[in-house]
Amino acid sequence: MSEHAPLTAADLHEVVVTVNGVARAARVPARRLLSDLLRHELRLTGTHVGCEHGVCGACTVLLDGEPVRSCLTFAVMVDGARITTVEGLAGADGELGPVQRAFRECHGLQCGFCTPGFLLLATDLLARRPDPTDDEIADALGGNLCRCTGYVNIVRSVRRAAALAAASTPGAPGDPDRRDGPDATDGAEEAP
Amino acid sequence: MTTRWFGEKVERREDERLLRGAGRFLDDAGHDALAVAFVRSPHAHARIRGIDAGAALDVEGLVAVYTWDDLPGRLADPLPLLIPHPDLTHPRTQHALARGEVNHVGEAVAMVVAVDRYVAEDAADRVVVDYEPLPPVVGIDAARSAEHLVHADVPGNVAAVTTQELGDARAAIAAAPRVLELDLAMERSLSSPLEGRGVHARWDADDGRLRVRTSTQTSTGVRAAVANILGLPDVAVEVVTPDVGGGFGTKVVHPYPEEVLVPWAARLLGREVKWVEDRFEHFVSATHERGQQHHVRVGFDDDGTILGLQVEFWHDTGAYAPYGIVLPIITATQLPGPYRHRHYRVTFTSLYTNTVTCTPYRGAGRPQGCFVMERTIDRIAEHLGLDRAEVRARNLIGPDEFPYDFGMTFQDGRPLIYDSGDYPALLARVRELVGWDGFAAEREAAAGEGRLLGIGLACYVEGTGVGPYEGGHVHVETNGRVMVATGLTSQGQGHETVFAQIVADELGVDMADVYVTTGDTRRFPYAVGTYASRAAVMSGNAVALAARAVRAKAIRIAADALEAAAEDLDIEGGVVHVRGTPTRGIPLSQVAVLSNPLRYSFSKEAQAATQFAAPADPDVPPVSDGDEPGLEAREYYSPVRSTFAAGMHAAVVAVDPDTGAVDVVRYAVVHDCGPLVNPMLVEGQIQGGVAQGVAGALYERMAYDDAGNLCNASFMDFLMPYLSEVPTPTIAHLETPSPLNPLGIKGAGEAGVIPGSACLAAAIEDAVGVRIDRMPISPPELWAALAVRQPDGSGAGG
Amino acid sequence: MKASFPVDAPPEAWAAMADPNRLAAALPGCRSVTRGDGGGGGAGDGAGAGRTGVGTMHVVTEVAVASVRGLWAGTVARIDADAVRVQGSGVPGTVDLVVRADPDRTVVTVEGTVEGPLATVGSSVLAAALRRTAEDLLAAAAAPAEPGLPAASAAPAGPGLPAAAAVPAGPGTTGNLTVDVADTRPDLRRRRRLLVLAGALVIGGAAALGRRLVRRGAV
Repeated sequence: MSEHAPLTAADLHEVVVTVNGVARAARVPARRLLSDLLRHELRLTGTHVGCEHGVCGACTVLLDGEPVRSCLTFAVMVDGARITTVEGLAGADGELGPVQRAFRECHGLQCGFCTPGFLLLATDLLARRPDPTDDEIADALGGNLCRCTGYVNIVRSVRRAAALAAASTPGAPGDPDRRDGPDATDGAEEAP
Repeated sequence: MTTRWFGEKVERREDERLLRGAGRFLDDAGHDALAVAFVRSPHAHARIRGIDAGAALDVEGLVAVYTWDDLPGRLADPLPLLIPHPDLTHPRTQHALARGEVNHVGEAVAMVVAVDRYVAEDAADRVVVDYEPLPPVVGIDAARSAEHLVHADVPGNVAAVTTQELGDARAAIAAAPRVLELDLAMERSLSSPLEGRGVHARWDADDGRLRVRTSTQTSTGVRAAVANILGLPDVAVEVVTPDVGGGFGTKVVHPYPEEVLVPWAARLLGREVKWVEDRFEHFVSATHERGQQHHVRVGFDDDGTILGLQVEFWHDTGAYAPYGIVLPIITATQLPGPYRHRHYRVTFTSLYTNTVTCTPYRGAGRPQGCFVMERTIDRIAEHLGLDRAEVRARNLIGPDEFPYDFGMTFQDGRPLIYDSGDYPALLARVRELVGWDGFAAEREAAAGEGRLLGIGLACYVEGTGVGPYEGGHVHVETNGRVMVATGLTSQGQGHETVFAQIVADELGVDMADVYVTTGDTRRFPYAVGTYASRAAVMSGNAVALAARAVRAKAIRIAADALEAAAEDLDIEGGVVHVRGTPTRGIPLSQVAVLSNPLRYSFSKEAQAATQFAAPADPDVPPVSDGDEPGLEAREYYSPVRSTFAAGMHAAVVAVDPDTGAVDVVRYAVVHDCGPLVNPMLVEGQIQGGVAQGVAGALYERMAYDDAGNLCNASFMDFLMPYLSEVPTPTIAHLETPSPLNPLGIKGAGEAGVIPGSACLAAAIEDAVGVRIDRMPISPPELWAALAVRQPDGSGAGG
Repeated sequence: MKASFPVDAPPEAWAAMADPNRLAAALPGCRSVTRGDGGGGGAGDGAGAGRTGVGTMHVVTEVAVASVRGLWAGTVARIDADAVRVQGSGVPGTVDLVVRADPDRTVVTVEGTVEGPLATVGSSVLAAALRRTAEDLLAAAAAPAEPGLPAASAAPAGPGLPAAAAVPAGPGTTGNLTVDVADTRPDLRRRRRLLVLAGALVIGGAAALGRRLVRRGAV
């Protein structure tokens, strides 16, 4: 005989996060993924979900300045945090940031589905290492999948982004939530 | 006409929204839609004795559970056989929801609709299906033995047997001085785009329209299927393809069950319904490809000239064959490559197995064909002690031998005739690019350092621009915008940019004023789809023809208005002017106003245009015979047959004998797709293809166990390459224009992947002297092969 | 639609279902159950259409199956000794069903049409809901009797829990449940209580047939 155990709607928890500098709130069940919170509750659909098991990295966002896989994070875990998504990379005036401009110049994207993840990784990398070596680029980007580009132009884009960023601003661009500058050592690994 | 945009590395129009995260992928809209999850079979082969949704009743937020019993009319029939063929004697397609039997792990059994995906999955978990497991047939060997059958009424698990022949291969081989036989195999892989499939539908009761969005490679195909299967007039069904996160072939088969079930449910429930698959679902229900086994007999002379080639192969089509036998036909007809065959006979058998259905994945049968041909030539060279590039050179079709007719039928049902190319030039260039001639020295130097280097080479010919047609619509609006539409779709190829380049050049306008829409049946209802490296050739030419027609009309109208001769007029920067007198001109926006005799002055441009209006001739109607209002045109490009691109790849690998690891040290690509519309985009396509070729050679396989479970159904275990696994290819281009279309272009989408396995197999074999006749090869497999290597290079047992 | 499933209930459950008060109390969401007042029985189609109002019950009830919710009213009329016909409509939809038991009362089959929102939940959900309601109703009916008003005191259907599909009632029929003890149809044979199923079917059918057995037993 079938079980009759009811599965009622779960309790909702309020989550307050600052996303791209804007305070946002939502009420979600405990099992709601951060990627779903961003995409559906907050309608920030730039963060994409490619696998939901943490391997492809398309869902990468910056959480309190660090890249994380939002598909492996529960929304309730980030209450009070500051998050940067791809929608936060353009300038205040709406101009594309240096990383974005570099990807366009270098044809660093084709279908665009993995792109937000790579943009955020590149942003994070350049905030820590404004002039990264190829090894440092490979190390930073080596955990995200792309099926279209073969990665060649993604790497070129990051190199170009470093040049554009250095040319346009005195300091490195990067996650505005990071409280540290490019030489911070708050647990971040030194590059080999 | 001077070209300003064609051939330029123009930055892409698509990037503006994609870089901002403002793309509109399938799951980015429809936040209030009901969600769908499927109950999928955990068995490879089983009868369904009953389905009990009792426990799902208690899931709050459940809306419905549908099974085959609920499907009305044609929705209850097997899904369409897309591409029939006289030799496909036992076609089988699945039902939208399993009807009493399941034939692969992952087959959809019940459809659950709920308030969101979390709840839908909760409910799906609680649906109890009573299965009676049946013996599964897994792998080509099991299918051939036919100890068990996938479909009870398909004897021997044989869907089709086909033979094509040029000359008399068996006689030629019998008479040849030397003969070799070899067995070659390629394992199954899958497209695995980073965005999975999804369908989103809404029934608009006010307008009587079923509005469907689906992550597909063919909107018109899905539309036809939905309209026919749901019994709706064509005009009542709209299919719009959103931004698509990669297709690579798997999104061209249609309709997937979900593509008819979701629209049906939306109409039934009167609610928006959306299904977005997760990665596991993709692995077990989106189509696979590549699995084939081949047996080769080749007759040749002491020079290495091929005298006769006979190939027999077995194709694993999975549980069903909606795509018919197109895949093995492509293998059969592309296997000959760039070589001068006089006697070639190919027979294939398409077999059912209890695994996911197979339909094209980038390359679509060509990687297998290339692997077979190239390994065979390598073996001939080895047998004769000749240089592998030399043996190829001796067999290449010469540049003066076109058109070269194989006397066979290609995938488009048309004669297999190579139209143009320069294969010797490609070979010379790739030898140079990879350092073929000086390699012996390089290998020796590396050996001195303890590194095992090897070099390999592979050539391919690719039929592109497959018909039957594509269409283009170009419309200059009175506001000056040039609106372009074509029916096929985009998955990242940059169509909005490439087609704008073409139209801008043809029409003489600024690219920024050209707006391209693809894959929207409302904008262009007749189309085939994006696959087989055909989009640039087909839609590129179609929009060019439409733009030419608009140009001609604009000049005709402007000639009247300017009281000048048509042949004296040019269009530049969107202005039609007298050649040599730029100030005497009329902008296209005003020409557009003039083209419509009903001229309301609703804008300054319209008012300005009236100054050109000549008094109406009272004896001639305002819209004369054969003319139409508006500055627009719709044209179709339909090729007499496919046009053949070609290329050659060469690679140097380093093999670590202690671990079997393979490092691709150098990868060279020489590629001929005719003139390049946007070189930057073509290179991107090649780079992406090379990544998939390397992946298919070294990493990607579908690991089915004997029970038919897919053991690596996630990115954790299916090894898609990361950045560190993919080499940076050096790319050189050759351009032999196609004589078959107005732009002279050929397709480029699949080129990068086709010779990957052949090229790397050759290089690995060259490095370590072990026969590589099966791909992919992983480090443990290579290491094991090294461990049992015999002095003659063969494996254990010779 | 067509659904069938096994049934198994102790005599006490059947006996309890013969009591209209107990029955109404056991049916979640029920608003009222009224004896038919002799209006014309079901015409024509179906075997042995029930005659007259005797054995016709009018039921008004709240229905909840999956996400379909709403008020429903209809009638249950006897066709023959083994079957009843359930008809009626409401927000959840319109129903015209024949509920038939096998002679041994071990299997019940429901066959007919369902239109409206209830027709969109899928046959497996509908069948499961029918079966569930029958089981729950019999289980509730077997519990010790409680005095009190029928229907109005019944708990409203919980989310996701299928309540009785409304026993189709004639429009506008209201009133308390009464029991008709005047039926003396000679063709009735002593047999196990017909198990009535989900919603609509349950109340009227059980009440109609249950009364017979009570009366018979009393004779």
